[in-house]
Amino acid sequence: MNARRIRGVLLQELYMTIHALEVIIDVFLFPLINIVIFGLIAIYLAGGAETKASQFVFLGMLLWQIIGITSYSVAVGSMWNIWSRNLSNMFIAPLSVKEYVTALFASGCIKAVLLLTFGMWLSAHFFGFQVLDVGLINLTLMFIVFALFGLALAIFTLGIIFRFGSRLAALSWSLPWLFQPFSAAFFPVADLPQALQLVAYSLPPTYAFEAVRFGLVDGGVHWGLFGVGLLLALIYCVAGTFFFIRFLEVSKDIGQFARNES
Amino acid sequence: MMTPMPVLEVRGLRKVYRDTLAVNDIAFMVGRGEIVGLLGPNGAGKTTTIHMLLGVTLKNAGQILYFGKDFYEHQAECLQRINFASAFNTLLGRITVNENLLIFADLYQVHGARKKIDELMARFEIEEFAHSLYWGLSSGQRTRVNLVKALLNDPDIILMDEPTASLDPDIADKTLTLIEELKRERGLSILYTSHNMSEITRICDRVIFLDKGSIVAHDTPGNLTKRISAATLRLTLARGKSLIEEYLRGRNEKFTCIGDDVVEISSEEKKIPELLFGASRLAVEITDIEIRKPTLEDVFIQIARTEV
Repeated sequence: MNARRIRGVLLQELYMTIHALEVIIDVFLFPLINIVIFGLIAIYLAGGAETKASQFVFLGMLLWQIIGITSYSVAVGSMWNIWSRNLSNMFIAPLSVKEYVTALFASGCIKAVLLLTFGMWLSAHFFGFQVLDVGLINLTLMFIVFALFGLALAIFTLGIIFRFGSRLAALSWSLPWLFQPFSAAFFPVADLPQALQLVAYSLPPTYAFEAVRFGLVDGGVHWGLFGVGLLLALIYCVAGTFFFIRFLEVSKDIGQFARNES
Repeated sequence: MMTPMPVLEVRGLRKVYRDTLAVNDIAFMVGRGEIVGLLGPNGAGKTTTIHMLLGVTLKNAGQILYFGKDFYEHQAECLQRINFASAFNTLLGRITVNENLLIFADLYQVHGARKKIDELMARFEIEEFAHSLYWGLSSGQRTRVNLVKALLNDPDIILMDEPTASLDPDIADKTLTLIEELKRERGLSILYTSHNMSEITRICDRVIFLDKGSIVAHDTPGNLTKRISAATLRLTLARGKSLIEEYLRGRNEKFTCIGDDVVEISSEEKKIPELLFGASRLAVEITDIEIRKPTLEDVFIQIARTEV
């Protein structure tokens, strides 16, 4: 891994974020609109004395942005290169796939931290909800689980796009949202139908959301839940990497990788 | 005397897409300071070959050696010393020229990146576009930016895929002049694909013709055109056209009459002086002589149509 090459990809991310209005809208504006909407819903629910439920709903939306943004950053960052016919140029340079994905992931994490910080400030000032009440350790552990899950989804998506072509580009920004209903983001897993609970327990964010909710109630750190979530997130990353490498090999073998830009 | 190590050596390179043989056991070398043209009709396997040489498409068999090292085993090391320019691959359109080049300077770990970028942009006369968005540039300006990017890492070899496609003749000529200068000044090696035969004739030391994935001809542009013996002699006459016709029939030459005053003769190139001498001894008045020798384009057409 070469720091200078990673810096090159980070620079690309920075320049794209500055110049492309779409990136600013997707990464900052839409999530902020969601945060505001869910903040207002939380205020409405709190008026009905459902204080904890309102906090869970708001927290679910705010924290889900971490998955959305890390995944978006890795997958859509590559789509910009494909759309501009620049991806080959990147890999004709001595840039390894590992360096490339690491840089995009780092960029996604930076964006997620910025958004989360601003979201926390918004929630404290406008909706009277202190996200830090969750606890810094809980917040950090949850961030790690979510970011790794976002990365796993993104590299899997990238693999699919490299293999089957950019007609599947929509997956790069939509895939994380397909998992949201089953991740117990807004309510406890126990409230899901029995069959869906099995699905929920196969997803890393479920454990982190549960741990954060318990933490909000009892003020503790639920290491067991975070441990399972982290382990699952790592398994998803390994599986995502496996599929990505396989798809990339097939894509290069059948000539699809080069054709993606034609 | 030891032969200098080729910059690029390809041995038995093969690529099969399902049932289609795209590249069939091709072998060639590019020496230091040499420009080698890779030609062929559409679907001949040029682009697949270039993609394999860059590692964006995997080979099925064979070996690619840059600087004597196996490309697949030393990919990062080789990529550091090669580069690519194409009319079909562009840089990121949404960011500025300078930003694009700074990114690639990092990817290639260029020392003194800003100075190097400024120097190259000055050389290609595009300094004024440094802060313009790449997508706002014309084709000619983009080509020059792509060439700056291709030279950022001081490569030993550049693979160029139709770099002058879609350029007007003036800009194309300037681009070719720059390529010639780079070859002369830095001993840069280039593998060059183009459909423009006059361009190939002008800059290439050797030409490789690909057809249906195989190398069907490999020689200097001059030697390749000698393979086609036919030339055309066109005479415009003020008088004596019937005498010329009679003379040509007597020699069993193929000819066509165009209008009342033009005779076009198709013959072997070596017979042209003899024909002209014979015609000059007749009681005719020749007002114009036009000799069309075979060109690389004729070789290309012959290969594409008749599978030489």
